Amino acid sequence: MSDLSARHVHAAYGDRVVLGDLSVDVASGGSLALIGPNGAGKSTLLRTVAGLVKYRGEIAVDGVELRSLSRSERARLIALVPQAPLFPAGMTVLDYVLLGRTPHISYWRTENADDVEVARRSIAALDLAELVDRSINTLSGGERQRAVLARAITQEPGVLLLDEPTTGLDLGHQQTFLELVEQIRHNQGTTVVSAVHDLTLAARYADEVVLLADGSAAASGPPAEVITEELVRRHYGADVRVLVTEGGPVVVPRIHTDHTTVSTHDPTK
Amino acid sequence: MTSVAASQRLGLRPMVVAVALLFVAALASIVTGAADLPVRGVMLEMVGWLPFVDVDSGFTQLQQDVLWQLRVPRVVIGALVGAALSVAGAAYQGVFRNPLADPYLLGVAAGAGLGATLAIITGLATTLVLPGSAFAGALVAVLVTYGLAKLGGSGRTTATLVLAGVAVASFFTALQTYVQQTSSDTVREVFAWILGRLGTFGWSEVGLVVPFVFISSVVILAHRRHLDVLSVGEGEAAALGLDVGRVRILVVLAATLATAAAVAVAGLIGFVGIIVPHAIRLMTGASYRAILPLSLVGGAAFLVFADIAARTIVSPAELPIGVITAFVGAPFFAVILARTRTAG
Repeated sequence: MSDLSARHVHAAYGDRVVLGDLSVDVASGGSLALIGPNGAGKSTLLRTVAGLVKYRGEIAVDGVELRSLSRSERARLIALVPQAPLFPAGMTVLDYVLLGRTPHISYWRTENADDVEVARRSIAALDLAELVDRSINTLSGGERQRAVLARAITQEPGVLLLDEPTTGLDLGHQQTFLELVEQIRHNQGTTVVSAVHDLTLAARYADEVVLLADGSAAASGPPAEVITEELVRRHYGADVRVLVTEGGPVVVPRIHTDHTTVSTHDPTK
Repeated sequence: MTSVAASQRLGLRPMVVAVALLFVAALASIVTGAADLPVRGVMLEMVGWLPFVDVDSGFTQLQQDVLWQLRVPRVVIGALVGAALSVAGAAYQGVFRNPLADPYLLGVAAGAGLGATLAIITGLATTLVLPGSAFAGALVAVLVTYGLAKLGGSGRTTATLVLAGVAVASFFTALQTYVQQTSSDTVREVFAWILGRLGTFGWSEVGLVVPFVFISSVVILAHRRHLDVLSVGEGEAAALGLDVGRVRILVVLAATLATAAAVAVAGLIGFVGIIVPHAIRLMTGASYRAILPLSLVGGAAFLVFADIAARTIVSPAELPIGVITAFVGAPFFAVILARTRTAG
């Protein structure tokens, strides 16, 4: 249960500016989806909040500036589910999930029974109990993604960052995964920030949406206000219809029978 | 639920096997040689060495001297060097996240060799200067290798680090050869040492290595959990709250110290640091909690066995032990390289 506030954040990889004067707020226990075309800075914002990218400006959780925290203090507040996690060959699911206890264990010590208990609870919560002894790299895509989420919640964070968590999963596994995230948010009050490509999913699962373009926020607000035909066309270069349903906006591509209407568009320009 | 976390698994069975192997190796090594020492007598001597036990082994004074002044120190030094090299190899593999990292391939051993040679030819090779000088050389070598590999660009791969290591090893070996050849009165001494040897050792050499191997092993073993965290990559490990920089510095320093101590007494013995940890990985899995302690004991057993081979194959002459380890290790290296490639 933590609120996250980023103010005038700037970040760059070498000379390439990736975030320019970006400000984003998420209320405690809220769910924010970051949308925007490739290269807009969604992943970079998440990685910056997770402490992996240097930044100028202010990023605070519960009013505490992240720069004033040690690595392990930060990792007790914020957990990241990375876009392409590495799965060490031969590591069991239990040991993998147990890595989430890292920030809770002092340097010269190892896990105790309580740490194992927290890991087991996460494993049970994510329906992985019968897979505990399996080698992590033998799991299916959906199972692995749940194991990464289990590792993240084992950190017992106030803020959970998800970097395109459902990419590569089929529709059923996407739904299962996102519902598990919602369950964690409701049960533990965890604040969730996710980078999402699928606009319909973003609209369905988030209370707030921020549209990033060229490293700053082009629009923000409730899903129905941000996911509009006009904004999608302008920032994604995509010609879509946005159908308004009771479950939120649904984004449907328009089919061009004459193959000429869509202009080539490079949103990074 | 019967599953147990790695932190709580004792890994007892493989450890028992490793200790048994070491025991068999030690005994076989002790009874191998020109002077005949019967196994029974050796066992009785060992028992008699225990406090408050007095048994008659039936050994003559000569046999006792051969046993206690030649054979036993040789086994002990072999075990210490093997333990140091293989635990250092496992540590480098974990900290560089590179299955081909090894004290020899990273150029660390060559750096230690240059340091030790400088100490020998300047006549300063005292108990502390020799390992100290080897450590300084080894540290420079590992830093240069790592720096070169980083220069190699963002796509720092398994191959880049090894290539950098090969370049550094060649350079340091060339320097070492030059230094060795320019001082003709010590050339024979240096040359015999550089090929790797365990002969002509007494308890003073044992005393020289023990503290360094002990300290570095303790530091490396204390990082077994950190190396498991690091196996998910530097970025993820940092996001999990691991102080990656601190882990890297401490583990590299400890592994380099272990390598330098081993090289200072036994010369250049290659591939131990790659053969032993990988054989253990194949048997017990990827966790450093199992790999590190087993490498320590398994490495000791492996080098004692290699020493028996070195002494018997061309008996009564002796092969440098580095020849034996390279003979076994090079094919092993090729297999690991092939596996790394297919794993992507």
